[in-house]
This record gives sequence, C-alpha cells and structure tokens, in this order.
Amino acid sequence: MELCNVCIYKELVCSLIIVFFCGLIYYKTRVIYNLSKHEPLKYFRNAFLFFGSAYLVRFFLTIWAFSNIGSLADCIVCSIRPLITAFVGFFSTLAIINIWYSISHEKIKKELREPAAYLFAIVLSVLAYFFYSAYLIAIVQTIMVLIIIISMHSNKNSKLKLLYILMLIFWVINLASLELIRAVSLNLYLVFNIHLILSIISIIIIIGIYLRISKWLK
Amino acid sequence: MKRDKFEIMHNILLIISKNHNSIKITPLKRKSNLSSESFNTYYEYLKKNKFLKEIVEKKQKKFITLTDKGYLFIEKYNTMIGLFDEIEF
Repeated sequence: MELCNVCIYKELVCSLIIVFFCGLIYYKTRVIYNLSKHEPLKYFRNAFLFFGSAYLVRFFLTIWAFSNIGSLADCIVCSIRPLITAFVGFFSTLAIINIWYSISHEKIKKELREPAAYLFAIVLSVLAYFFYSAYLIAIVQTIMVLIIIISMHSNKNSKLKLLYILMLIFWVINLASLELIRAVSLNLYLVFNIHLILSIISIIIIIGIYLRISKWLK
Repeated sequence: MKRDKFEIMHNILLIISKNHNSIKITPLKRKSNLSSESFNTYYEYLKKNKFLKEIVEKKQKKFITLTDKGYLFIEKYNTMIGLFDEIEF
C-alpha cells in the first residue's frame, strides 16, 4: 500500500515549518553578526542554516522511506536515494559541527575549523552514499552529539543548552528511524505517525530555541 | 578590571557620540582610559570596519565622527551582549 497524499503533505508541512524557523534564526541574527563578527554567533547561525538545509533534503528521504517500489517515479526516487542520503548527511554533519564550534571554537585553530568541518562532512557523506545507509550517519552523529554534551560542561544552567541537546538527539533519532522503517517493514502508517510525532517534537524544540533568542533580536 | 572587546569598542564609540559626534584623537584616547597601544589597535579596527571615520577640517585639523554603522553598534550593544550571553555556555 502506498503512502497516502495526506501523510506526504503532513511531512512537507513539518519540514517547511522547521526550515522556516531555522531560516528565521539565521536571518534575524545577521545584523548583530555583521556588527560584531563574533565567532560563536557565526557558528550558531551556520548551524541553523545547515540544519534547515538538512531538514529540507530529508523530506525527500522520508517520502522515499515511506513509499513502496512500484511505479516509474518510485524507481527514479530509488536511484537518487543514496545521493539524497549523502546530502542529508553532509548538511546535518556540518550543522552539528557548527554547534560544537559555537560552544568550543577556541579548541581548534581558526584556519583549520572550516576545512576540517567540510572534509569530515564530505567523507561521511561519501561513505553514506556508497553504503546506501543513513545508519552510518546516525551512528557517527550520535558520537558527535555525545562529544558536544560532554563539551557543554559549564556552571551556567541554560535552557538553551538543554534545547540544543534535545534538538540534536531528536535529529539523530529521526534520521535513524528512516532506516528502521525500511529494514523492519512495520505497518507503514503506524511508523509514519511515530515519525511525525518526532518531527513535531523537533518543531517545538526549534521554536523554543527561536523564542529563547528572539527577545534579543528586536 | 579587564574589559572585554565589545565593551571597549562601545565605550570608544559612546565617547565620540557624547562629544557631539566630533572629537580629536588625543582627547578620545585620554577619555577611553586605554594604553596607547591598545587604543591604537581598537581605533584602527573601528576605522577599518567603518564604525567611525576621520574628517579633516580647515587648518588640517582632524576630527573623528561616527558612521551609521557606529551609531547602530551603540544602539544594538545591549542586545548584542544579551544574545552572546544566551548562546555561549
């Protein structure tokens, strides 16, 4: 049974909402960044730019994951699925690295930061492409998220820190769930709805981040 | 007390603003309460990034004034510091 159109629209709306708020965070912080050229802010903004891109590309991966092979259109999607997986891996890895940089940028030399980030993201995406699997990306990003959580050692009790952690965790769960769907072949609608709930939680978290910083952006 | 970079920039720009947006470099240096070397570093940074500009008037007298960007920095300073405090752990 193919996925219903309503389900696809729901997924599209969720993805667009996340992309919108990620874009809003990036756009609304531009004036302050242009005035200050503050490094942590630069990486903070980049993180949301890349996350927005990752969620946008992930929408296509989700549609593939919930579709059955049958029609010509599905075969076309099937053939470009590894490429979509690679792009999701590329953008999301860069987003996670930029979040790490925004809180720990002094730990790596400035001239090495961006080359290292892009190189790592490209290598991971290429591996994901050839192995046809978002699992690899999810595993590596889980390790990256754990490193970030450990890096966030601070006396400062910040709600934004908690939101960062939740955002990263839900991203990784969401990504891994796309592979699980294909592997386990459970009831598509049940799994889709679980996936949708994860997306809605991600929306709430990103809106929470936006509201947290928006008081400073007036 | 050690002041951070943005606080010092804000202080220099505010001095210019409070001096009717026209001040010579020597009184600016004196009012900024910085060493000569530090002041020159910040001054060159602010000039290079167009927060302030130099105007040469009659008899080759050089005055320093704020640009629109300089005014915007003063206006957004508190917002800026609040945002940095929010995103840094």
